[in-house]
Amino acid sequence: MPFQHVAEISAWLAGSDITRLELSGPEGVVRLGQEVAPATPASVAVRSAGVGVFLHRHPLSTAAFVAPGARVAAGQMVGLLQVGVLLMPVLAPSAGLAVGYLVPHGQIVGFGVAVLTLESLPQEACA
Amino acid sequence: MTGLGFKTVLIANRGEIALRVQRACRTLGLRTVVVHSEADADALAVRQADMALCIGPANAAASYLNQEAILLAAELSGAEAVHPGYGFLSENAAFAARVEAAGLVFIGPPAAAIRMMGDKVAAKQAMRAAGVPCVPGPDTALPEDPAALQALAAAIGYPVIVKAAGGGGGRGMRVVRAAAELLEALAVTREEARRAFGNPEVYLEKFLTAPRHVEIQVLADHYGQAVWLGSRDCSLQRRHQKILEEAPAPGIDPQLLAEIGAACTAACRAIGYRGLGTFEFLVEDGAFYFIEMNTRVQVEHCVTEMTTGIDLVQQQIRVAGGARLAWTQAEVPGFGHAFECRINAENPKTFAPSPGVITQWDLPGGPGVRVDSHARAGFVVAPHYDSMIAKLIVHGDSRAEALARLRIALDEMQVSGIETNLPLHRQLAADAGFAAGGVDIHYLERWLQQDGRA
Repeated sequence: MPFQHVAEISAWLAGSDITRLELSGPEGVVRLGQEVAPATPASVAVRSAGVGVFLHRHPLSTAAFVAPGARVAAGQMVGLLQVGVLLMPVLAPSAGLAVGYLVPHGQIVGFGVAVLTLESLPQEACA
Repeated sequence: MTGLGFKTVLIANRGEIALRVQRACRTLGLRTVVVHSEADADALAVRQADMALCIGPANAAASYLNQEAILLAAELSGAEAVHPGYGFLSENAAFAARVEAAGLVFIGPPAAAIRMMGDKVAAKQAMRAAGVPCVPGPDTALPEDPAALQALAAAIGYPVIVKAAGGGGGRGMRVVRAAAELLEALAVTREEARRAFGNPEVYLEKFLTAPRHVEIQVLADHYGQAVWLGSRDCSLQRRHQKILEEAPAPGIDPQLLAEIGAACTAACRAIGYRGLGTFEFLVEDGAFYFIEMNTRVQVEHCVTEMTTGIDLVQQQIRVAGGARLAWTQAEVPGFGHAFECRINAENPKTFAPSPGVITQWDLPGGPGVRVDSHARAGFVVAPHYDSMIAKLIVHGDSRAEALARLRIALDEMQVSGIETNLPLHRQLAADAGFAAGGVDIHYLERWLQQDGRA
């Protein structure tokens, strides 16, 4: 049985994208596997939940809710969707670094339109 | 300058009719706003629109039936009129009323007319009053007393049909062949109607055993003028869904047709109707019986366009914008014969929907051939909506010439990647009974049964 080669095969596996390997012979079976860290998307889009006018800032304010490079927490308000006389909050689905708005202040947007890009935070910052 | 009461039209529909309406708007110099679901983001009408807005996910309840989102899109985009197409919100009286309450023009009849025609009992009363012939049966609410009900049905004569007042399109109806079945059929249909339409009211009519489906196209303006634009025969149906239509209805006495047409336009004036509309009739033994009125543009409007040369959708928009009818009844043109095949993405034997990617899309051509479609090679037929992917329409000087063109066009049309009902249409176009003209509404189902199909 190829037990003497386990270390060698493990090293090969680590360098590949194979997650599971099974070897069977007259003396038994060897199963080798490696855990793959879940891929974290490099960036995530904040999307409009409906039809409305997308606002970077409150009508009474001159400052945008987020500036490029700003750190955004999950659930943080990053903009407003004006629907008639209502101002609905547009919230970040996850934490990240704001890259920038994708549509201008005051633009009409439809359902599902990406309005802001968030870059994923470095791994250690998530802990 | 368009000369109409609006410059921008919001198109609240999808598929071929969204494209069709957009073309009509463009011929009138109108700007278009197309609202769509996420699934239709890549649609031709969306791409070609002056402005497009996604109003919701693929699920129609959250997009094409989402009245709030459509009205908001109209407000934000500056649209001044809303075209509902067919299906979805086109015959929703509450939506029409909301559009008008928002200060916009609903391209269709007044909400009150939609509401009246949506209630089959009220519609029948209005038609009788206007002199339109109706199927024998009372146009009042049914008595509660079982003995009185039995007497009523016996007076009409079996077989009778129980229909839901709020139904239509073949839903909410039950045939009763003998007195013993009557009370149970009434109870079951009432319960179904309550659940399906929120209105438990049912009514009773004579059941015609082998009628044809013949309909009259009307167009009315704001000034009490109405014309009828010829007849259509839509008898080839499967489960109350039309498959193949033609204009004019073959073999109907022109004098009788003119009388029915005149009664329809009189009814339009009597109920204050405006816009496009269709009076649907069952025709048996040379007599017309009104069944319902459709208060919108219909899928099969194209065959009437071919036999009149009139762009019906353009005229619908014009009259909604306050224009007068362009013709008196005597001036309405009529020439030749036309057929329309509804090409569906479905298995031609089992009729199971066949969504997927269209890999080949070869369209027919030549004189008198027209295809209205939103599909193309590479197009993805989504599973969320109606399976119709194209309408193949042909015209000829005579019915025989149109039928010959239909057969050639059906052979020329080649679609791969998905299944379509083209093979079924080819068989129908070659069928001797259909070629003779004037088949009844059960013909196709009998034909399918003999062929061992569903």
